Amino acid sequence: METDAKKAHRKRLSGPKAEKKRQKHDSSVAGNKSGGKKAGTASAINRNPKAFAVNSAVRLRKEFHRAADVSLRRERLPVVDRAPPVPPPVIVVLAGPPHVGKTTLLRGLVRNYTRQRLAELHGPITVVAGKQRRVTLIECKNDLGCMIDLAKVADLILLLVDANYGLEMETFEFLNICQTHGMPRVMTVLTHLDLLRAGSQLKKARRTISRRLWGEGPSSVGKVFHISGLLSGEYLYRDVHNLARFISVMKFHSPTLQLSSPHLLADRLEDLTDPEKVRQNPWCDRRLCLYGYLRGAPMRPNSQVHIPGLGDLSVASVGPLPDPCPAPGSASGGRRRLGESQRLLYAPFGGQGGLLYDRDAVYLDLGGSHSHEEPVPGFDLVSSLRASQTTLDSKIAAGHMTLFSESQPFVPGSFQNSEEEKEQEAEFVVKGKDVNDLERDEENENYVNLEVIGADETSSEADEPLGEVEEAASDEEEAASTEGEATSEEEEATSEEEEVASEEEEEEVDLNAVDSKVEQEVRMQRKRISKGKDEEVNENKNIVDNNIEEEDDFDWEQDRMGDELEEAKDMTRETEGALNWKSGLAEKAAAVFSRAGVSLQRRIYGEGCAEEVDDGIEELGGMFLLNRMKAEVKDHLDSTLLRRTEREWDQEDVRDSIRDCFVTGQWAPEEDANTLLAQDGNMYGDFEDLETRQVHSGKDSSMEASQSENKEEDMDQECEGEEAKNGGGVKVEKDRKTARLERKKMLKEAFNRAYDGGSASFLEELKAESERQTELNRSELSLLPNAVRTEVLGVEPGAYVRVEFSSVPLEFLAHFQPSYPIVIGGVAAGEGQLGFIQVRIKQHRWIRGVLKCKDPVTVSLGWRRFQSLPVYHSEGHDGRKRMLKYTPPHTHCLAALWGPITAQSSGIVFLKCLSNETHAFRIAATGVVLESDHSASIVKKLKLVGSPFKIFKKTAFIKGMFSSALEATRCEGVGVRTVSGIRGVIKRALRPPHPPGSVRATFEDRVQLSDLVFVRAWASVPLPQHCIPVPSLLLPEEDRASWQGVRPTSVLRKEHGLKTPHNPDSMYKPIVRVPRFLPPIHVPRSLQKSLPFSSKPKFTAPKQITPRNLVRPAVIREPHERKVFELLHALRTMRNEKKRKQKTEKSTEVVKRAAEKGLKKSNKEIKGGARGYHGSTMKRGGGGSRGGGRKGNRWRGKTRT
Amino acid sequence: MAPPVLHAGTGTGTRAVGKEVTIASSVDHNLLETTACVSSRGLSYKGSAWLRQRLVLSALSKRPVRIWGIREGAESPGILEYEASLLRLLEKVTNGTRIEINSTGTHLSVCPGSLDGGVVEHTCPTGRSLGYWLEFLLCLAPFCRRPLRATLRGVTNGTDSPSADLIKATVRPALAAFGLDEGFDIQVLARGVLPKGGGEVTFTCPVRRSLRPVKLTEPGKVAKVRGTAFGVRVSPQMSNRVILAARGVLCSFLPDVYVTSDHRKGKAAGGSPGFGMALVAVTTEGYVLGAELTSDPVNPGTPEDLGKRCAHHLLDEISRGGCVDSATQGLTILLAAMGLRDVSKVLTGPLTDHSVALLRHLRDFFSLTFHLEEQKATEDDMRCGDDKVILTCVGVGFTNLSKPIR
Repeated sequence: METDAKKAHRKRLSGPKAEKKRQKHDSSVAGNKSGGKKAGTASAINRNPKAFAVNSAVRLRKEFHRAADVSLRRERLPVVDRAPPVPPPVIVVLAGPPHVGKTTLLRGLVRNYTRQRLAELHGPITVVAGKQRRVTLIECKNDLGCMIDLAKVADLILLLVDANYGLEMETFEFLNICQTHGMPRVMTVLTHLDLLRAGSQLKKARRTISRRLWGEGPSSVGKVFHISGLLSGEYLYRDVHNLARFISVMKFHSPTLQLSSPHLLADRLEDLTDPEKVRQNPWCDRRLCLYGYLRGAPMRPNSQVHIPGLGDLSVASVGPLPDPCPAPGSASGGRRRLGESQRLLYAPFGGQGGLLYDRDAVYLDLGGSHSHEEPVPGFDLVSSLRASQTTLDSKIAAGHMTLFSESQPFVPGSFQNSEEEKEQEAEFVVKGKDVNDLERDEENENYVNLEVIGADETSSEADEPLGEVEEAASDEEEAASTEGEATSEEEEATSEEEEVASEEEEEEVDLNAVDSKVEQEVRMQRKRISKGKDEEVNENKNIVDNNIEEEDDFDWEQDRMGDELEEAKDMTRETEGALNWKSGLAEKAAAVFSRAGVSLQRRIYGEGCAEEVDDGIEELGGMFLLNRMKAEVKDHLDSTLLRRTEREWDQEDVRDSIRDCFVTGQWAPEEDANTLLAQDGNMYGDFEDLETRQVHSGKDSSMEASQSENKEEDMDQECEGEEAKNGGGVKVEKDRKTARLERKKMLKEAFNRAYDGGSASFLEELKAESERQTELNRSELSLLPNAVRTEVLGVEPGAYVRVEFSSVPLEFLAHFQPSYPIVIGGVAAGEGQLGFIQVRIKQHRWIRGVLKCKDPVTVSLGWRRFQSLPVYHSEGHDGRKRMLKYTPPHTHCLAALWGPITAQSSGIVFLKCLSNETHAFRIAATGVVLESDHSASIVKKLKLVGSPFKIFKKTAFIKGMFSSALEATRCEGVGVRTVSGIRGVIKRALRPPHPPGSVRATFEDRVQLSDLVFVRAWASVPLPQHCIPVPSLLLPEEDRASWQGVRPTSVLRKEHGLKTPHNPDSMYKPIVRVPRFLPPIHVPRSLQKSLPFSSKPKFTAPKQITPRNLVRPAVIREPHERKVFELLHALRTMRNEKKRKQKTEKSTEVVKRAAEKGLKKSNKEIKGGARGYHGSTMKRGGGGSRGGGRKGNRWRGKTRT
Repeated sequence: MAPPVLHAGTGTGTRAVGKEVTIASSVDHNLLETTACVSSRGLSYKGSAWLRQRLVLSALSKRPVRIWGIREGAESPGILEYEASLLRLLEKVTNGTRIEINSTGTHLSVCPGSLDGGVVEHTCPTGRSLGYWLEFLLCLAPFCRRPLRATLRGVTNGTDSPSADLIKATVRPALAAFGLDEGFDIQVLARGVLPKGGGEVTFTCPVRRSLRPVKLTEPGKVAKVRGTAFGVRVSPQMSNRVILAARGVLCSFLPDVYVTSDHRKGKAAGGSPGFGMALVAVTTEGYVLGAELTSDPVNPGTPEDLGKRCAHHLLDEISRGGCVDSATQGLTILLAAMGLRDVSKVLTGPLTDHSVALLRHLRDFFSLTFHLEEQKATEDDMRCGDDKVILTCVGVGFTNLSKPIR
């Protein structure tokens, strides 16, 4: 039969027609099920519910768990958003092997962002990349130290790959470092694509590289960019532009290290060392400033920082500066594009932004740097005096003094006047005294205070047994006076012109020796300073504020008085001498009083200092020393309990003062139950009984309830009556219905809210809490004034800050390289200490060989890079840490190393060497910190073996286990074991007649003399305490990569041509087993008797060895035969004796002859004899081991060990 | 000639930074060279005042502290017995702490190690009551490697420091705010009063990696008063008489006053006779204000008088107000300061001397400044006692570096 070749109809599987059919089918199925009722669409579960029924509860549980796991894995732990209002610039690192095009790309990006071509590209370059975005671009040199430092601060890494050459080892090393220290975002950029033939070769190269990088993990590739070629030495505009656009809109997440500690990438450096000091000692430590954008967390003053490559430093001062490269912000205009003037560039290391660093000189743009110059205290006055041409008395003669701007000036000759004038003057003087004296007093007070502080400190310094006391003291004094100067200047800077004038007057009063010319000069200078100060105020705000507070040493009462008087003084200035300054004093006092919050803070923090004196010695009138020690000691009883001020609680008015602290007292209106009830009644009180159609209205008090009900009814009836009257009953009914519906809806919503709120998941609660905290942080901090905010919070991230260090090794400046990154990382409390860090590491799969215990490795941990000697170990199930001689391949192991204590779960990288010369993979292992402590115990197994020398029943004396009685005493009570498995315990060390170190031990069974007894113990391994920070910033550039620190022993041996020393005891030797003969078991006769028959030894005849037929029968001789035999026997004996004698004679003759001939022959004979003896021993040994029974077993046990 | 190559971190010369002085004098040279204090600068204080705070903050900030001139020129110069005992306790709860005291005891330098915790037993001299050591442990225990289980023996109820009962009642809600309530316990196994002591207290505290910020600004109103009156080696009637007198004062404010009587006999009663009472006022928000009084060992007075005075102390404490009472202020301030880098806010009564000193010390050790605001009592027309203080701070972002992870 011929098959039909026609093509079968293919049903539509998609499209509108198929959809329609499916719908039809579904509905028909559903319709059948639901009894002909035409439902719309029915899902598969409706159509075939059995197929979806629960088949296996276990499987269902598993599925459910998996689904829950998957959904939860998507969630992130909510964190409190502590991001600053103005974020710092994003750090973009260009990394890759040499000659891959990093500099070219950097130049292209800078040109793209700023339209500028830079000649030198050194250090971080900050550019404006968008309205809200600034970008710091930095090139990563092909140096492992650079890579590590930059991987820790980068937000985005552009991983450049030469597509023509392929991937190189550095790329993978860099990726590994990044992964361990918290993965920043990575984008791969393929360059040198123009060297490949377009088409399949290009495609293949791209694909291979992408796939290989994907193998390292999806986060390590990001997006792959292609840079197609070069045009006159630069990358094509379009390629770079795309990349730049991508960077400027990208979102970032910061790793933990970055978020948890303040850090900055320094982009400017300034040496502030006193030239005189340098002249005296050219190798002295330098005082310098580093600048950069603060990131991560706020930085508090006096904090500790670590600069990788330099070491731990303490910050002398830190303060925000005006932003040198601000983002324009959204408020700058409606346009999306950046204007040309907004495309800023800031790169001081690269010769942009005011400073240019040369190899041996620094060129400054004077406008920028002088604003931060520190004023020399008292310099202005001295310089003005120096500049003056006339002498002091002539100045006095020429000078005049004015108290108020309108008043008549006093001139030297004006004191002889008429009486009226005198009176007038007196009035003026009094008035003047009123004001000026106060001012002067205040000044004096300040001055005195300062002096006192200085003196105190000098004395305290002198008491201390510190070196260089004098220098320190003078420094302190200088600092104090500087503070004073700064304060007064700060006041001036904020004051107005009038105030300046009035202070001029003060100047006149105080130093009336200064003539008007000097005055002029002073004024000019002061103005200049105040101008300059305006800028510096920001910078030093926090310091200056502190100073202000520190000056307010006097107590609260005085403080308040001072404030009041100051207010009064201001008034005087305004009204210029009139008496109405007294008006409104009370209000002013009240205003002062209301500022008590500030003053409380001052009271607390004003006088605090580390040099506290409690056993105070007070000076009375400058003459007598009052020793108030006893009283002081009693006062300072260290207790949290109060010395109470007993109030008269028996009195009614005193009791009334706390009446409202109790629930029985009066409540605030917003909390008061009655008020709230009244409000509630208005809102929800009315309700209508739907059945009886009775409307109830809530009243605030239950007392009126019954009355109100009645009233309501009346009202209702009235209403109804009215309705009936109006004839609009329908309308009213409608209103009621809607009201009712609304009420129901409200109730339902309230119920839903309560229901949902009650079942909020754990994660949602966390989220809500973190949001609440974020909100609280923002609101609280925004309420604080700027100065207080800096004080409470520290310098906020996002600010451009200046960090000053008081002593930095000279080498840092001498070998400074702008292209080598300087990262300043904040160190938390306690992270500066050294201790043992326990880390879990895994040896990298690419490294050759294994890592040896106590071999030096360079470690990158936290911000630091240092060399240490890790001890590898593993942890047993009993928590005991056993040393490992080498790292195990393909698994994790633990390592303990001596180094700076670092937060748990920070990443750690082990590097075998830093050198660029090697071809091997340099990352030895990566891991994570588990814990750190000041001690660590790592052990190795120790087996002490001894042998019994005297045995009692179950007790034995054991020797050879310990070398001294002391050792033995230490091990009393320790469990021991014999080879055959008998357990025991060491009881006591034995006294001298016994060998030293011998012990008495008891066992669970009797031990044999031939047994070996051993103790299984653990010996703690001494851990090396070695930690050297890598000093890369202190070395010349050419030595940085080749720095080695401590070298491993193997390398040292190799260099010195030494052989590995061997302990002969540790050598493996052939085991010589001496055979043992066990005596036959001897059963005493008495015992034999009492044994049952089956166990009794049977005295049966020994087995016949010779066959029966060969056994000769016994012959009994006749007397004659016996005589014959005896005769024959005697004859035979005689013959034998004769023969023997002949033989011995012969042999002695032979020996004699041989001795005559030489020793050769006789030697041979002796050797042959020895061999024969040895052979017989071996043979006998073999026989002995075949012994049976219990003893045989024991013997085998011994051979096994 | 090339300049001498220096190793990194050679910044330990004598240097005056602000008013702190680096410890690198000839005396402490060994201390710096040999141990772990590489980079953290030390602090120097004169005089014995606030020794506990200094030791606590030194142990937390890991900065070495040097205290000199301790009772110099006094009749008995140098550290006292209870201070020496405190140093021994510090050594027990830490690992790697180095304490050096000169021969006269007037000079003390402490280089702190890591906080360890674990099981600690300590016998306290009877010079001070147990609260002195207990408060010290309270400050350190949350930051230890292992949960602390301390057994302290000595005077449980004295006059110079809060008793174990009061600490238990007032500290628990404060710790709960920081998430430290689970696993916190203080048990008075035996009561001991002056002069012989003989009491025993166990204290357990959980450890945390970091503390959460708190907002304690709404103290609420006092809703109930609870308390314990105790008598040891006296008639059982004594405690009942104390209770009666205290109720007489407090019931004029509030009906909800319940005070239990705790009479001890035999070993649990320590070595000396005495009686006393601890009262706590619990607010509607669950905060607790406490006061206590113990009879004088020489002149005990009548129990009625003691009860009344104790109630008056409680009224004093209520008048001071706030979310924490005066004895717990210090601990709350410390824990708020040791929190994450978030804003914490606490409303307290007027600051005590102890709190003021702590605030200053916190600035020395952690460069942490609180924002202090005074809240006037007269602002709303309520009769709420004294002026209050609102303390606002941003935590230092402290993390427990010794707690291991697995």
